[in-house]
Amino acid sequence: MGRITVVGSGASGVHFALSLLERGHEVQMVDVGYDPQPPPLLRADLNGLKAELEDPVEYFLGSDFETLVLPDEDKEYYGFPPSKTYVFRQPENTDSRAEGFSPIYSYAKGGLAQAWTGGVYPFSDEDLSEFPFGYVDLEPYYSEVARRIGVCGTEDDLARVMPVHEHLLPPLDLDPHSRLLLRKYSAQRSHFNEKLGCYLGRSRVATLSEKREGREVCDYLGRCLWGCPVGALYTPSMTLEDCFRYPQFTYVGDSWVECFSSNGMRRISSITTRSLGSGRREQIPVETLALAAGTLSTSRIFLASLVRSGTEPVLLEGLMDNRQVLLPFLNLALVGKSYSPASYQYHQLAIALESEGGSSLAHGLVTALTTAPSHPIIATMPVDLRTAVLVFRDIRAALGLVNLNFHDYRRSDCTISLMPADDGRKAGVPIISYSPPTDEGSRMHVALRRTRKALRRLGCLVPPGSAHVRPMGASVHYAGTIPMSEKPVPLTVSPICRSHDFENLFVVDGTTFPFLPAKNITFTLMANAARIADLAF
Amino acid sequence: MITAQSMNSDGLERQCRLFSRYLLDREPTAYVLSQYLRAHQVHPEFVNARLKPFDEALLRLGPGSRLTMPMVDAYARIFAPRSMLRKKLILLLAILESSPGSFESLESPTATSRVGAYISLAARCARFAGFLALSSMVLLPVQLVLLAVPGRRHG
Repeated sequence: MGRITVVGSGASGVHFALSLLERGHEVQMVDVGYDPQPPPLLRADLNGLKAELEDPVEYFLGSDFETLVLPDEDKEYYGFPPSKTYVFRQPENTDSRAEGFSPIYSYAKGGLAQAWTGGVYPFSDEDLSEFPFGYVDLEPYYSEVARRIGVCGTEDDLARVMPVHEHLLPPLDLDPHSRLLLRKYSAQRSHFNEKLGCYLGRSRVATLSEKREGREVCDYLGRCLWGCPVGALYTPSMTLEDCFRYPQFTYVGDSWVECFSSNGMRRISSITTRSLGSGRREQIPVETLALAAGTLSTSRIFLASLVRSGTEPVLLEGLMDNRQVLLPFLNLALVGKSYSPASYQYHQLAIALESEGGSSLAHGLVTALTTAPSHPIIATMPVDLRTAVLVFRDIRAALGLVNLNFHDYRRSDCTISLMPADDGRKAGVPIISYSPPTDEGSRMHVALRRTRKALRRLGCLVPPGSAHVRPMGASVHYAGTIPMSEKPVPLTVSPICRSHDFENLFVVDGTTFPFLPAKNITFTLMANAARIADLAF
Repeated sequence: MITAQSMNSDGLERQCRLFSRYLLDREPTAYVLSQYLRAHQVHPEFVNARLKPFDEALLRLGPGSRLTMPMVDAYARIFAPRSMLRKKLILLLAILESSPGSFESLESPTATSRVGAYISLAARCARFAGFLALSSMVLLPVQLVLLAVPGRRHG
């Protein structure tokens, strides 16, 4: 089959590449590849950073105070810190236009999952019902990816919605807040399950509870959000490092892919790249091309290539993303208690809500907000700032947040198209248009009501009016514009994600998902990429 | 009038000291002072921001004394949440929570028990309500009058 050219180094691209390399194939990866800054003071915990860094304000708020959260209509409880801004750095002349959607792109080495919270949630048979394969077909690849990245978790009540695969590491130590919630749930399990259709259990997270080569066990420094300094929390750049160990792997950085060119016989012959440093364009010959640039960029490259080949302007339908709703809560049993900032910072518990018929309604991540930045939370309290500071000190140990995720499905009115090329650009600007599903409001209403009831049962208070519906696009779980199809129709791919339009093109990221369950898709992106590499090469 | 030009570093330093005493009952360290000043040189919200007349009024009245500060802040929280006074207070709070010598002040609970925490919470809410009622009598008419006056540049 010769050399395989992979576009993008995100979660899909690196696991696709590594699987190919393990089978002896030659792989060339083309990427923009922005790099992070190395983390400072590797052994310091969160407060140690504040005490020991030469300029902690620059580290926590940025050199231009760019992550300061001032009063705004669009409140978020978690912002990205300066150490993660490289993940979202946008090159010049790569903009897009969007309606009903807030697109987020990444050109970092490792892609968007460099800033993920490590949630690892395998799709169940119900989640995969519109895919041309089931859980049993994907399970070996979930297990393989879990072996590679290190996933900790356990078999508990959530196994009904998160199938249990091999290579699970023991779970992390629970923080006191999460431990209390789980204990209360366990004492009233039948009420939660039967009356509320609610299941609570341990999150599965890509964080090490056992040492791996080059990575250390989570030592509870409370620095997850700012970037794990010991490599316990997995990011795709680690798998990219693994790829570099193979002599048949080449990495072409500083290369933004504009489009590919075909020879008129449904075969791609080259890709056109632009250096973001020099602006110079280059043609790179390809034998087999795999697009793994993420749904938005993969769609753009595909559309620009069709335009270049003289095809009538088309639009890709079916863009999906998980709607997310943030629900802060106060655990009344922990008011007035002290807390330790040296703890695992991301979600340690997860919640599953089922509809009355037993199908999945929503999936939530439960995070104790012990080490989140304080000022955005304090500023939202409906009292003067001094009072808010004093109240915050008494309730800090009691604060928590549920991040509810809702499923999405392909619709013809959610599209990506290209503006006609202008301004001397060879590639047009992507236009994204999204409309939420008509039943979204009713699903959110039911799920929020049940979550509030569940939280009350756990002894928690949800402040009135505090639920925050995040804009569509914020979850960055994009999918669906060139879906898998067993029928060879245009603008689709086969079940092994080979294009039905170009015989030497594979699409190995979320672009091919025909449905988006109410879960973080990153783990399935990795597993599906490994599956394609195994079955197609 | 308080503008970017007239609010020099001495004025910002005085403002920072007063806000720090108000928020955490402590003097700001030299590091905190330097960061507060730096933010006013680099952050777009504080460089060349356009101040409404009522923003200026809050910035004049708030730092007047230890009594006016909570009253003006209470009013601003409800009726002018995006005012420059609130932005400056939140800026300083963000600096304090990130800085040695002050982040510890946000770590420990003020109460020694859960019951004590609830009593404190009730007392603080009552105090806030009182400040809000008093300040509303003075500031609400002022805000209504100044609504019609155009804004100025501020730094």
